Amino acid sequence: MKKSNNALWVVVFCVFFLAPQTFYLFCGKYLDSENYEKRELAEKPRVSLATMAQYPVAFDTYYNDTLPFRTQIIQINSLIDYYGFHESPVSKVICGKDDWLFYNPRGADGDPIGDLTGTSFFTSEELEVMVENLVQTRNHLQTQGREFVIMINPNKESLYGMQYLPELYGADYNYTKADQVVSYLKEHSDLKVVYPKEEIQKAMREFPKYEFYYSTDTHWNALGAYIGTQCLLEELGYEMPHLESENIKHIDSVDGGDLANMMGLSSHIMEKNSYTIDFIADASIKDVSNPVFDEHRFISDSLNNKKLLMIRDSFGNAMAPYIGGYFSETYMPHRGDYSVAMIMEENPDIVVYEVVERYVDNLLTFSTVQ
Amino acid sequence: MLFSSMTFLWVFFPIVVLGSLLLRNKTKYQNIFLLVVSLLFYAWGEPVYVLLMLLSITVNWLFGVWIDKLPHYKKYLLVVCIVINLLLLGYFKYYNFLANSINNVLRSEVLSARNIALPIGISFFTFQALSYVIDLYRGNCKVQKNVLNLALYVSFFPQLIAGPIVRYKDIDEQIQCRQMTMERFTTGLRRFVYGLGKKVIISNCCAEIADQLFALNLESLTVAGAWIAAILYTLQIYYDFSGYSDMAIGLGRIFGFDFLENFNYPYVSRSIHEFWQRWHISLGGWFKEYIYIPLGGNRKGKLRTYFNLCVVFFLTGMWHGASWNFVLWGMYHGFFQIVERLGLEKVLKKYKIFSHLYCLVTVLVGWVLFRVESLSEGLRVIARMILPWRFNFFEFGELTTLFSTRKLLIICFGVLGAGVIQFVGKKIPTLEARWKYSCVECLFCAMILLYSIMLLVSGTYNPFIYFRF
Repeated sequence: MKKSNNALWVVVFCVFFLAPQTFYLFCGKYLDSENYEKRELAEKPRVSLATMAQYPVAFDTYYNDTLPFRTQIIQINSLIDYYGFHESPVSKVICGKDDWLFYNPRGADGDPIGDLTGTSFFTSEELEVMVENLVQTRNHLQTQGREFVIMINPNKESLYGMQYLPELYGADYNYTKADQVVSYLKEHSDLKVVYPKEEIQKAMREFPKYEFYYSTDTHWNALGAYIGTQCLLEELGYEMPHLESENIKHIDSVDGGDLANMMGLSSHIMEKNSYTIDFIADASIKDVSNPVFDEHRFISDSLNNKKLLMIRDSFGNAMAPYIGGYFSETYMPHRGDYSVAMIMEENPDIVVYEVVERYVDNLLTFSTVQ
Repeated sequence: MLFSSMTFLWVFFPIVVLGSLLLRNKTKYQNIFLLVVSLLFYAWGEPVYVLLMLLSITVNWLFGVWIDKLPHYKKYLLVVCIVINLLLLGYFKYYNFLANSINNVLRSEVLSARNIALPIGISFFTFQALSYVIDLYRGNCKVQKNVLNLALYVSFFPQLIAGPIVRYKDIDEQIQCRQMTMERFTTGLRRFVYGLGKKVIISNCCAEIADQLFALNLESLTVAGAWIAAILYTLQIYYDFSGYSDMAIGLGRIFGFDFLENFNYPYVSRSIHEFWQRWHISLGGWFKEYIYIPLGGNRKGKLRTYFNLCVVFFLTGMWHGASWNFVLWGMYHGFFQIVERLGLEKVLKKYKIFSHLYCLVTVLVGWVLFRVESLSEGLRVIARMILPWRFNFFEFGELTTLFSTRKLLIICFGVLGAGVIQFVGKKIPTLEARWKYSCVECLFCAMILLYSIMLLVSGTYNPFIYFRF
């Protein structure tokens, strides 16, 4: 082999095996090392006799989380996958058509794709348990003079999958997991169930130039939340103004949402379905939320003297701007902060349990009974 | 520790290379350094069982010394040493398999299952140790009185975890005397890079799809799905195993050692007999040297030859895993070896295309048995492959969700690299000669290395939608 070729291989060794750690020592502090993964990165393990056997695994985990140029390499790989091959760099995100992204955690955080293909559906025994549990909860609240409403919001995949997801084996967009649950609850009980799927689909037809869910995020946007809130308030006996195009304003230059962030590309893939609605409540609302907790709390001078407690997930966040003016007090804690004692502490007139389709399993266990 | 981990690539490997370079003119100290890092390499994955390996080394070294010093008793010493090695391997690898099998036959719990963790690489280092004592007994090598040198032979990190199985006689001189040269460094690095690319780029890509298909509910698996799963697993296992062997051989070469080849494009074979001369060559060689030939090989008549083949392939299956589907896989290959000797090989020699197809399909179906968790699962997958009219043939949506442009491109490279490119290279030797070790090839390897590292680093990325505490 020629000496010049030997030298090339030495350069390859130095560049790929020695240079990254060396250069990172000097320039690492100037580079982006923000945590985009929404998890705690591993800490450097301590060497001790007691933990010697666990040290290699702990060190590997720590080193993998703190590799030199890690953020930059991941971003470059993500850009190559996304723009070069139109493929998601992470298995939990599916790249659909027209730059729509969808969530596919395969059961680790719900199963939106399984909710379409039927693989995550409930058995009849589970549905029986669900009805029993929810009826018990409703009856318990009724004895306290409180109203109980269940709100199930459709997955983005269920509403936009047919249009933008790649062809899915076994998907039935007309009968998803939420459809299964809602039809069962309505057939086997007199529970109040709000399920705004049809209303959102109607609004999609009425306003074809707008989308009601974010393209780069798992959530509905302000328009979807508006329709959902409208459905909920209608069930509770209140009327929201009809959505009008002149009240809808598009927001430009918005970074990509949670799905784009999972791919490490939230500053590269912009969100195109971000809107605000010019909505003026009938009452004057004061936001008294505690910033420490994941909650919304409003008091208003609404003539309706009722208090609403809405135990919600993140879909409830976009509903908050529309709800506060309809009740004298509104409290919307995240279900992670819910405890049975909250019912007596807050003493609401209406209890709403809001859940997105992929988390509908929570209806098996949600209860207000000790 | 895995070769395809960032801890190895960016911490262990550069430190060991630099350390060895500093000691390149002092073989004795370099051996000690390589031994220490090899034990650290093994302890990284087996912090407790490294002591087991040290015990195995010590026992085999002692028996080696006794065999040399007490030639009148060498046969008995050999037998005892082999029994000790096989007992160690048998306990850690086969105890629960044996217990379950006996309990199932007797329909009662005669032997209770135990919580035994399998030490990584025990099959490899046990076979290497056995190779030393048997070759010593036969007079094919001299006794290694320096326990540190024997320890280095058994535990040397490039081949410790996944082979190739290096026979002591092939390496004893290199332990005492070798050179770290620029040419060895560059040819070794080249080999290592190709191996890393095979494992990280091709094998992992095939594994992603094959795993999804094999995980499907069998009722959902179509004929097309079964064939695709089998083909992709065929590529996956080849590129995984041969990739590791390439990395091992490359690493050995960097440090001045020459290991024998372990794979020779097995999927170009025209018979199962030829396949086993190209696939995991070191294992086949070990069984031939230490089991087949001592049993008589093919020198004691046809029936005895077939019996010997059955024994070898039974043991080959068992060596790969403690489960009946591995045994069936081994016997499946043994069956075709016998059928070929009964006359099929003559037919295969006449018809080139038929022989290639025969061998590919036979191997492919065999890999299904190797991959599945249970015999019944394997037979159900194979049924879809060979009786397509009885099952749902094809679902478009099933395939579009599995494949992407990037994966298809990688799989194409995988198919071409399994023998097609090499076939073309042999037909145009000047092209091959100009390509090998050229600047263009160096650049190509740099791209492989870059993409492999990108994939490995990206593989550490584990994002969540909501913050996890």
